Amino acid sequence: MDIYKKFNKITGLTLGLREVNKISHQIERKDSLFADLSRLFFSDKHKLKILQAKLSGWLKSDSDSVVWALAGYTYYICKQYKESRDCFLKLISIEPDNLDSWVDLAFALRHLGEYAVSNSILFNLKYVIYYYKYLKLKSGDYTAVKNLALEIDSNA
Amino acid sequence: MLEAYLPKKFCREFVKIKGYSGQLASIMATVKGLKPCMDDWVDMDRYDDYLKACKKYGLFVRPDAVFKMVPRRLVQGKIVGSDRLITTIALGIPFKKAPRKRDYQAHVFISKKKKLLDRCFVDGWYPLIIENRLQEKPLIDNFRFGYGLGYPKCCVDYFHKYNNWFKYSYLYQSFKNTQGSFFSRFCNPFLKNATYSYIYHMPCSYNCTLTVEYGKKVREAIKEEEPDFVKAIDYHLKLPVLIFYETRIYIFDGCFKNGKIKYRRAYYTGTDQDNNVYLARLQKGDSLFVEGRTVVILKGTRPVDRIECSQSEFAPEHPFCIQFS
Repeated sequence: MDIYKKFNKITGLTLGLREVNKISHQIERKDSLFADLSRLFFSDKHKLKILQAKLSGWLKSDSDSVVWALAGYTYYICKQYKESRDCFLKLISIEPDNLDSWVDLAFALRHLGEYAVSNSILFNLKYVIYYYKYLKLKSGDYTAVKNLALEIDSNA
Repeated sequence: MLEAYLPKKFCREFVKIKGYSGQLASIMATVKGLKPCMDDWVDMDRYDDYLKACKKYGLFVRPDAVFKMVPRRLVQGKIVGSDRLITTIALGIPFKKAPRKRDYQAHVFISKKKKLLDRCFVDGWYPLIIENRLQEKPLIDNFRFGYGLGYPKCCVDYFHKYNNWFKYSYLYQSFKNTQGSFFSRFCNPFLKNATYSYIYHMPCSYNCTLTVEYGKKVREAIKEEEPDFVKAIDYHLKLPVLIFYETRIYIFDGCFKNGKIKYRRAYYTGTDQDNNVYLARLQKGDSLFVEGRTVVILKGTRPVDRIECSQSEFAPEHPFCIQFS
């Protein structure tokens, strides 16, 4: 059974394909998965816990951006903010233009006490994305993203 | 009727500094340690004075972003996400980069305990316009924020279910969820932006046990310090109310009996005058009643106006009348 079917069986929700939300698209978010999982957490915590337990296995067997997003959201909801941050960093390395991942990263960092970096991403989103791509920082390395965000902030 | 309230002594500084008394009861409840944490707004040119006042009352303070309010017409349809703007409409500026000027308002969190402050802060980002886009926090943070602010669990849980502006009028859902015909003034949230309220959350029902418990404690704590303020709050909370939706609420100098509000004057309770679209029509009459989704306004026994409520896809109006005891 593929991950899409397994996800549906556990949660009752549909896992759609991940779409990149570029700034130029002028859309708030491309999918409602994060919000749907948040609602699920409050209506049926048990299902989310099952999902959480499955994630590490799924991440090993499938490096699809859908799975990284799913993991990032689930860890975030379960207050595993460091793991969540790493998933969003991975997503950014796969699809640097996707502002949804950048915003999600910023809020995960807020929870981790990285307030200055979080704010820099939120307040300088287009510059952060532009320079991340320009400097080819596609490693998913947090230190590189942090230094970039703080540098942009100091010049903003 | 809804003038600002200036306390004789306790927390007087906050009203002086902010220039209005919104959230005064919440500030008092936070100082008294009844409310674990709250968020507030203060003009940047008075920020240092605000810090001093907080220090005097033993409060920890943490600033978040700075708000520059903008009129709705300037942003409606022009920014990504503007269709979902309901109450506060503001451009966001990082705190460290904001000018220390009036009209630039710091969004701050205050608490008696540092740990509670930090917990509330991380979930407390407020939607702001940044680079032509409404920047919101994840929904899960929105849900958890209620716990950080000390709202009863039943109310936070109910909020998760029904806070959907496309499907429900939340305040009407709470009305439907109220068992019996007793409405406690401790569960009256309709004047929360107009100073006179013991609570700042929207309760799950208008006689919610936990909200009543909390409201009573706040009342007692305020009474010890400012008994006249308690009298003023109690008076306002017992006035009849007509609710259309969250930001379109009117109170009346009058009484509610047999399904009809009889009144001398109507007052808008909100802060955004753009939403105050019915006051002039309500003032034409001296009584009203709700019939389905229509508010019928009478002068004497003669109908003088009928407000057919909006059934728009977003923020539909579900009118209802209520008076608390």
